Amino acid sequence: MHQLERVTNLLTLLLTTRRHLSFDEIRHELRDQYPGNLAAARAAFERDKSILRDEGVPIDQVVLGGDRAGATGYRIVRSEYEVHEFGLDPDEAMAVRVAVGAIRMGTSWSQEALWKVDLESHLYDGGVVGVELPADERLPIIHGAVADCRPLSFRYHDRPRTLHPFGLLARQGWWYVVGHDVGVGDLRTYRVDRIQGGVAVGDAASFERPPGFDVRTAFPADPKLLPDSVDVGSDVAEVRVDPRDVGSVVRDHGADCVIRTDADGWAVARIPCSNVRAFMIWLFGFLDRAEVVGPPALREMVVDWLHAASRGVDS
Amino acid sequence: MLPWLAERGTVSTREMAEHFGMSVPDLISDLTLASLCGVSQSPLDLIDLWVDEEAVHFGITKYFDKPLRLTPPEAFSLVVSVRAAALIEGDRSPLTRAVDKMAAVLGGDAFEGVVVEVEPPEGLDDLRIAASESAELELQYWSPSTGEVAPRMVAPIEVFAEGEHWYLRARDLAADGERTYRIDRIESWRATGRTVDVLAGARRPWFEGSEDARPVVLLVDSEWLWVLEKYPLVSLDDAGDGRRRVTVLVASDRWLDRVLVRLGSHATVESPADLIDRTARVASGLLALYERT
Repeated sequence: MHQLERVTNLLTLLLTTRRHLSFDEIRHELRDQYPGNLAAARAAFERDKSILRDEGVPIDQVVLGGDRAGATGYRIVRSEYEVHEFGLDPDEAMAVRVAVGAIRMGTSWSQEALWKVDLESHLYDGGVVGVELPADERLPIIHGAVADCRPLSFRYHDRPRTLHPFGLLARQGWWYVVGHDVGVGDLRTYRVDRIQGGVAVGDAASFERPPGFDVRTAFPADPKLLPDSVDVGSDVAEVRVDPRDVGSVVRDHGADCVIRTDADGWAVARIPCSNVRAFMIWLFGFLDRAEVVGPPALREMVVDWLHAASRGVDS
Repeated sequence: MLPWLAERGTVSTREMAEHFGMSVPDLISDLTLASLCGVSQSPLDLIDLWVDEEAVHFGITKYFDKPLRLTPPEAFSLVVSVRAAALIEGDRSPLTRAVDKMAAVLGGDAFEGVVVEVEPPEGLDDLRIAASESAELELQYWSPSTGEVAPRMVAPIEVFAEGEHWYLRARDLAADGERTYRIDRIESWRATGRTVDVLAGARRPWFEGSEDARPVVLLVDSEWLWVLEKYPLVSLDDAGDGRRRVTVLVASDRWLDRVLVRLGSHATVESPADLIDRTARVASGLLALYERT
């Protein structure tokens, strides 16, 4: 017998039974579908249960009493199994279809969700606006932990962390989880794709999210504003910018960033440099069309970097 | 599939296969197997469906009245989709109501705990309309390589956000090829009044099939790999000496120069041979800027 056929039969049996069934009873009901050898039958049953659970089927499991005392009983509670209806009106359902078509995560998760919650749905691929977001198999686990206030444990930068996750943020192509790091005793942000290995979740309702917490303000959007350990004497750099690139700088930092225009047409702009590494990444995007004027320590760092690069040795 | 089928009774195999993204033979195979399932092998207990040459017929619903509950990935993805789309869709009212209804079922924290930062560019709705109406556009586009603004005649296909930026995917009518334009580099645009029909498929990965792009192999210190993480990599291997061997597709010398100077002494070009001393040449050129002042 095809395993999928047996698994489907097991699913129909556990869905329709009104009481928990022991393995022996299941084997009897699905006669001839499991191997005659008891150990092989048990192994096949465990594999079948695993397949169902991997698909999200909630199998309720209890230790039985009475004349079946000690045996484990299984059933599927229909209300736990079935999807909850959202009761969407036709225009609302269409809006959700458009949303699912517009937000692209490179997975089939949304489409599969739509199949379940919107039985009326027809394919929708008429959108001309889309947003690409990265997917990570740990995101749903972290999302569940945020929603249920469960602690998360994981490794990051080779150290174990325990976090009370307050929120998930998608920003500039990356996912971040923000929360209270129990070990540090303070708010911390972790980039999800940099988490090493899996994440473990603790009990629900283990903490409370601070009232009014806004994950967007937990850390600055501009990495040049993030503090680092390099002190160049100022948090703001003065940068000469080629006239061809002034428009781009003004778009990103506002017209107020330009403090003067030199006789040769180059503009001098004030740019955050609290994070020197992020600042240099930004600066080198302009190549020979931008030059650090000050502070002197920052200019010296840039020159040292370029000397090292020109010689091929570490700065 | 079964609750969906039960909702309809009879559906053509082609429509059903298309809806669930599978081939007709695979669909028929799955449904045939399903028709053999039930709590017992008695015909009264089997799932009541049958497939003829062109259609699937569903009889009495015995087991699967409603679909299986959402799995965590499905719930997460749905929440993200509606949260993000609420920021970009033109008519947001139905979606807002849908979110309220979904939050009532899934729990408000499932929604409030997820934020997708999508900042639509100015004029997104106008571009959306232009793309959906196949309007021919004239862009005034700033090129980072030249620093100059030049006109481009395009037929828009779609507008999308990826990473830090928004882009317009369009057919460049002069080059007769598909191009992607960063929207913040479009100084201005106007519709010419003409329409152009474009047969466009799904968006391809960056530079795929581009004749202008050539592979460049870099040896990068492992701890500096983050400089490249926002770019599509062709391959990534261990070089065996604490460094990683990375292949990137390069369509612009200026783009490669930016990457090399950002990596500085923490990377070298392994191939092609004519680029091996590129980092040193670019860095020396930039030093000249600092030495003259």
